[in-house]
Amino acid sequence: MTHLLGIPLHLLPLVLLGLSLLAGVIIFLLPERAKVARTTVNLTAAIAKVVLLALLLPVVLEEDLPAWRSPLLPGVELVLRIDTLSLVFASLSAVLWLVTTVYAIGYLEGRPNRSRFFGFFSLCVTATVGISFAGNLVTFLLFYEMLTLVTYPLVAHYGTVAALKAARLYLIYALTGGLVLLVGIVWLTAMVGPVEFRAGGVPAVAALAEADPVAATWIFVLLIGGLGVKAALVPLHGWLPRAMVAPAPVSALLHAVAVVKAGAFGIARVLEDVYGPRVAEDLGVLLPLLVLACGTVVYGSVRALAQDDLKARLAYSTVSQVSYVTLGLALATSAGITGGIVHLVHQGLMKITLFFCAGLFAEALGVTKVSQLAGMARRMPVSATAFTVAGLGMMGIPPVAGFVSKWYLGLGALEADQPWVVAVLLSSALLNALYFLPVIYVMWFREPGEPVLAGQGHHGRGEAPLTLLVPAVTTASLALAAGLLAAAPFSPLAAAQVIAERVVTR
Amino acid sequence: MTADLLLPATVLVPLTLACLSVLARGHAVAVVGLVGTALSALPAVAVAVLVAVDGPVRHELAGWSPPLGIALRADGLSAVLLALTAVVGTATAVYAAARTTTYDDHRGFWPLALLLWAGMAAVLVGADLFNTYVALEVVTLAAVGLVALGGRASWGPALRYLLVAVLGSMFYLLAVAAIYGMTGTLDMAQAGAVIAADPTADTRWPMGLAVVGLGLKSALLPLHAWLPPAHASAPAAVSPLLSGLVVKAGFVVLVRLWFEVLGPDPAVAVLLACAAAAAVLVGGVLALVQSSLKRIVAYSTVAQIGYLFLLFPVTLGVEDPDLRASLVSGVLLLLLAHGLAKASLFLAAGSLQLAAGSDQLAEIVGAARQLRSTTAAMMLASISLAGLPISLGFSGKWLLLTGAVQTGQWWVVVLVVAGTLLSAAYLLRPLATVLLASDTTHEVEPVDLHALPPGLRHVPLVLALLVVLLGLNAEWLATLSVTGLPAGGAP
Repeated sequence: MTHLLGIPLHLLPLVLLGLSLLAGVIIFLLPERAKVARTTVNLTAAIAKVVLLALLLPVVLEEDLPAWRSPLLPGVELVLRIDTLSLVFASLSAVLWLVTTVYAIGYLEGRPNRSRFFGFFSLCVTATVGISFAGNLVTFLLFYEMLTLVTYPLVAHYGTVAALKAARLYLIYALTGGLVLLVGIVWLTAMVGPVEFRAGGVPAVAALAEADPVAATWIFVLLIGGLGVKAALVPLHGWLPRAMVAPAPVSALLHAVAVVKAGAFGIARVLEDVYGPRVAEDLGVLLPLLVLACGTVVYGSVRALAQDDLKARLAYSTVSQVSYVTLGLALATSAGITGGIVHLVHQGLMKITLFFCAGLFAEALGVTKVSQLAGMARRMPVSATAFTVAGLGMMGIPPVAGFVSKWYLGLGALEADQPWVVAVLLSSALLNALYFLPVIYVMWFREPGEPVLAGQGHHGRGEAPLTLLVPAVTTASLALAAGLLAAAPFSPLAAAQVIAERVVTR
Repeated sequence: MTADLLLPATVLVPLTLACLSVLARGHAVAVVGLVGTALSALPAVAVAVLVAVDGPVRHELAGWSPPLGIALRADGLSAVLLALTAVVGTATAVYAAARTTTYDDHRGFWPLALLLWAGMAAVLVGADLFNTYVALEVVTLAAVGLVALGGRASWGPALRYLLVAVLGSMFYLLAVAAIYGMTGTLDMAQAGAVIAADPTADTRWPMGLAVVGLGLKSALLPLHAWLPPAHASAPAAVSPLLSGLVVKAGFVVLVRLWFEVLGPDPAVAVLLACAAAAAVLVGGVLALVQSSLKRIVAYSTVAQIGYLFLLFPVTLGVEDPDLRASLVSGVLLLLLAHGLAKASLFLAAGSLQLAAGSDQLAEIVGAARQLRSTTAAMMLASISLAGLPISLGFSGKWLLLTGAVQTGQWWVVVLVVAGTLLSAAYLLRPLATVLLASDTTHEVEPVDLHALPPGLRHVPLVLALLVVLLGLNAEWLATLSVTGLPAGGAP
């Protein structure tokens, strides 16, 4: 197969990247009031991308696509390539872009600066597509930094002093992380030349680790340290809870696929496709990373317990949950890597549902605190169900997707002969239950409190408008489906298994 | 020979048109200025293309060889800077032609701008030390004149600029005289050959004099104090020429002296390293504490000049030609990126100032809502100035960093990282200010959009887009910039 819908395979990354970029540019050029045109452009591009990626899935699971290259700097190329890992991340971002766009259209109805918002929103997705398709470290860095820059206006969107402060903090963290990553990449490139991703590790990096283990270790620390800022590894996570001032769709995207996930995805690239699990293990960097990830998992959960603000609780929950990805990768066994990678997708689906619901509650009733949610389910049963499904999934209750991730992570821990990690996983599940179950309990079984009865929201009684509700229900269903149909041929789990197998056997 | 016509034309065309524009009256002034700009850009771009295709070119005026005659030449350094002059000059001219308020309605703008262009071109294609001195003087005088167009408030800074620049010229002239005394020639290549052949030649004095003179002209810290008031008080259409082009003239001449005439000097290199590092850090901190947009942008120039002067210490003792080329092209890409991005940022600042009536940060709160194109230009230009991807500034920084790591110069890495954070911080302040929703602080007058005709509104964005798009493929530009790079420090 050399063409898909008449497009040569090696040009597909460019086409997919161009789709989001073009949508962003057109939206910037459209006047503020051109709502219909803006929505049309947005949805057309988002749907086209989902369709293209769906068609690509069977092709890429067979073998990686040929790369597209263009000279960037002397001796350095811009490389865009679709392999299975890219496809997993790109599909997640494409699907969530579509639902989040629908949600954002409903959410921002009647507010100012929508043209700017959707323009940067599209650029943000362009950056995640670029990150997923990047075929070498330099290309990855370009899009990684682009993501930092285009999310700044989104976090700062409301233009309040608090929003700009949070956005500045985010930028300081992200730019510093980006610079640390840059130094790591420059150093590695200076030692071994441009590094192209290769499942199971790059031979030149393995040779470097052999010849100069000290430099190789330091470079690893710089790379993971730079990526760890976005991935919100403790103690580099400080920006994430503060960035909650952003509009709900932005938080949803930030936590599910864009910024936080870009960091986790980068860690996956460095561990699996630059160093390779074997080389990393020989360098002795896996255990510290594993301990760091476990620490973050527990710390995030503990902090989440104490939050009464729903979005803040969800933010600390993200700190914890995203580290499951790193945890799985650091186990460096087939099941561990499978669990880590599949959690990239599963956490995205579940967390975006939770943020959609948090936005729904805030929009419909003006409720932002956990304590105000009493009796919410009587008034908004559909939203409450979506929240419950995702919450249970986060705890790892079958058959929601989170269970599948945790199962593989536990399996991986046993394979890696690190039984203490299972204890960490269990205690984290317990903590998850401690901070999600009360929310769910309060929603379903408490007598409705003042805010719910009064209903001083935009939309009177009952459920939120469909543009907000449908996306939440969709992602909750996807989270459920990813768990129920985990054994199906094109499920996220199947893709993750293919990736883990290629990485481990190499 | 094409080069025989083109090389003199790069200087003579803008010079002739500068004279013509003095004669024009009324609306014809702007027309002559615009046509003159277009005609001046042609030979400049043509020479750049010629160098890219054929390699370095040289031409002896009227067929007389040095030391009797005068030689002109263009290598990669001349080529990329001529192209930069053409782009920045044209963009500024379009901006200026759109509305006379951008240069305070003063007819002197066009002759002076074209004269400045002629001087720049002469510095870039000059192969002779004395002519370079004359060309530098032309650039300086035109630049001082342009600053003084900014009205009474700018006369003080303009006068100070004039004094400093003349002092700089004197130092440089002394250096030229010393070199002439040592070698008996003013031709750069011949003087370089004589000095290279004589191992006992004491080059330290002329080099020290030249560094002080040219450092004054390029505002290398601690010789920078004249720049911020001059650049900030100049009219909107003038500041981009000053920051984008003029400060680079002195740097180019020092590059010529360092690599082609006197040869690298380790002691001076250490001095330059300290000055460059201090410029990046101190300039950045000073930019951070300013309260008006144009002064932030002006102090940013002080900081960015520091990156350029890193060229001398980082290439010291680097024998491997590929590594040298990487380091030199990295700095030159930074120079180009700074020229384009700074021109864009100053034009954007000028637009904001015209629309809001002031460039104080407190007065431009929330301007992003109305000035979308200007804000976009500020964002993109800031990305390149901070050296973040995707932009030409990042490309330059990448080359400089990889070269520094490969030669084990970790202090450069630390400096660049610190400089990047500082520049991001000081560039973010104005951006956050214009993005701030105006209703969250005190009432701010809505900006006057009628002060900005459409042509004027989009010029900064075009420049900023250019500097971003060039970052997508900077390989050819990096290669062009080091075409004809001398093989090594002679003595």
